[in-house]
Amino acid sequence: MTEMDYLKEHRAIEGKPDTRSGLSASLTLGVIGVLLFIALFLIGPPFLPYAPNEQDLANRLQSPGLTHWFGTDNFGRDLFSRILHAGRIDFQIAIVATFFAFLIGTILGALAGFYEGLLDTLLMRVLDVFVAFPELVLVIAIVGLFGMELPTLYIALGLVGWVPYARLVRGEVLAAKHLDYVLAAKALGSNDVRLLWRHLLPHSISQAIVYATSSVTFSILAITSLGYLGVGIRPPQAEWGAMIAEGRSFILSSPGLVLFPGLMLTLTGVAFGLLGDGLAEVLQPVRKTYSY
Amino acid sequence: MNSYLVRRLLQFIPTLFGISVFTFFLIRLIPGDPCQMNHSQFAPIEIIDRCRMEHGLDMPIIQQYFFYIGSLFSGNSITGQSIVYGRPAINVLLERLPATILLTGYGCTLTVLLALFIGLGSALKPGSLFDRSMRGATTTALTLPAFLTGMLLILIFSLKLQLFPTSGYGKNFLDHLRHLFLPALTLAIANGAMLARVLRRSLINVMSSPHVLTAHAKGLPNRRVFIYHVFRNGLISPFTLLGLQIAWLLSGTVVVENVFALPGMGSLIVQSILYRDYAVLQITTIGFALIVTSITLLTDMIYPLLDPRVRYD
Repeated sequence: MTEMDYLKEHRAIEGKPDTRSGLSASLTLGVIGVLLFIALFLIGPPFLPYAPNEQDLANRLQSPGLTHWFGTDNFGRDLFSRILHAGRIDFQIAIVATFFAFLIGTILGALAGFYEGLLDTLLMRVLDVFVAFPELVLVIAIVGLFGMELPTLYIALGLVGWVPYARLVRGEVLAAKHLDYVLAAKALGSNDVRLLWRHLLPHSISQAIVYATSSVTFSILAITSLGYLGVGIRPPQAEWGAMIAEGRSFILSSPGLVLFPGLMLTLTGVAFGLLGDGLAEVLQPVRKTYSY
Repeated sequence: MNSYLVRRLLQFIPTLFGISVFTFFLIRLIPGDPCQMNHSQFAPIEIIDRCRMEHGLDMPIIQQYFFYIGSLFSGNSITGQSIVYGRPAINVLLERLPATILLTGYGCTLTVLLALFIGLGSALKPGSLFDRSMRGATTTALTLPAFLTGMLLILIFSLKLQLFPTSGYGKNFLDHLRHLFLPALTLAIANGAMLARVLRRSLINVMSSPHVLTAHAKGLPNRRVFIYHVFRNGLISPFTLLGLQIAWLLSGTVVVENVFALPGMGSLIVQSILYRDYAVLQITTIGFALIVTSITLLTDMIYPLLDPRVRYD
């Protein structure tokens, strides 16, 4: 096997140049999916014929049909309308919370990995404290403390979510900063900011970005779990988790009450998962940096 | 290495201190008074005052913390009485501990098995039908919330196929394993999917590094190259993730125990938050924290063994 063959084979494994279809497919599908859901959740609701909390007790638990696309729930509320309104709120919280978590985690993780010493020790101890709490418990406690308001949910999820970014980025920076190219950059007179910003972060951040994209999904899961447990967004405000919890009693007679919100939740998550996949491929093109 | 171990063990103490302070203040600052909540709203103020005094709730908050630390060290009432159960909170916790430990361990085992199967299968033949279908399956699995997975598993395996019970914990160990299978699988599906993807990516990345090329160039058989040169190196990032995932598995028990009506710490903690049972909440949180910190400690100690590039001096 010549070096060219080897490279070709492994490019094929990474799938970069010649299997373009397979990979950019994830990215394309992901981007289309995410944009579609953004449009659906952010622009859609005002155009819907039914308000999310409009009760029609004469038409309870209708099966899906032309008037009510996804049917109605046990109060005769239009399920499709509720699902879109729920999507709007879940989506919004997830994006904002993920962004907070990414920002805090990446900055702290990079600094700790780069400077080590006291800063690193301190961060690791704080991180241990945060990590020690199962995240849902911490979110429930914070939401319980400050009240079940939107800003509280952002803060709670952001505070709980920054830890993985800090660990990922710190680990990568720790391992990368002894590499030759970093030493070379240092020898050429790069200062710390430049080393971090131009050399270490681009090398170390790709995992965090991929994680952030798929982590939007986790934020949605956390919010809906809170809703399911009855400690998140409160009914009658439409929210996927709370809707599923309410629909649980009707799972055998009207499974749509659980399945439609569940499906929407899953599809939104898949869109972000695909986007994350696609981004991962773009951000780590052909493996060209060797860590040895 | 040894001094690192000692230092790392010593760091355990401030972490515990941080956890206790954090829990204490977080919980005490939540509006609402346990004595008020525990008694009828018509209860005379004297009774509520006495309850507050007995539980040290009438002191200033800083003093309450030291009172709490004192009771932690005095031993007779380790972290105080549960206001809801009317007995030492630690006893309540200890009753709930085994179910959660077993569920987490079971879930972790299934997670690793699932991840090894999918991750190895996909990494060995990237782009194959298996790889592509697993990519789709894991993407979907990652987005399924535990409560939905749990409900679907109950619908399929309990209500339709009648293979496993819908809820409950069982009587003896084998019975526990049968009862906990669906809950553990619920935990493992999402976590296993994530671990599998990281394992796949990591293995594939290692496969394209120069030392593997060298190994191939030396003429080593593929199997040997894979086992000695790829697999071990490929385990580093999945291993870091697994350390984090144990905390997520524990976090998942909060939801899963609720779906499957299991008598564990997860259901206990939600209940204690809703009732503001400070003593139970504290001891349960510290229990969770102890488990997770021990696991973190263990992962950190194994990490340099796996990745010699990371040195602690």
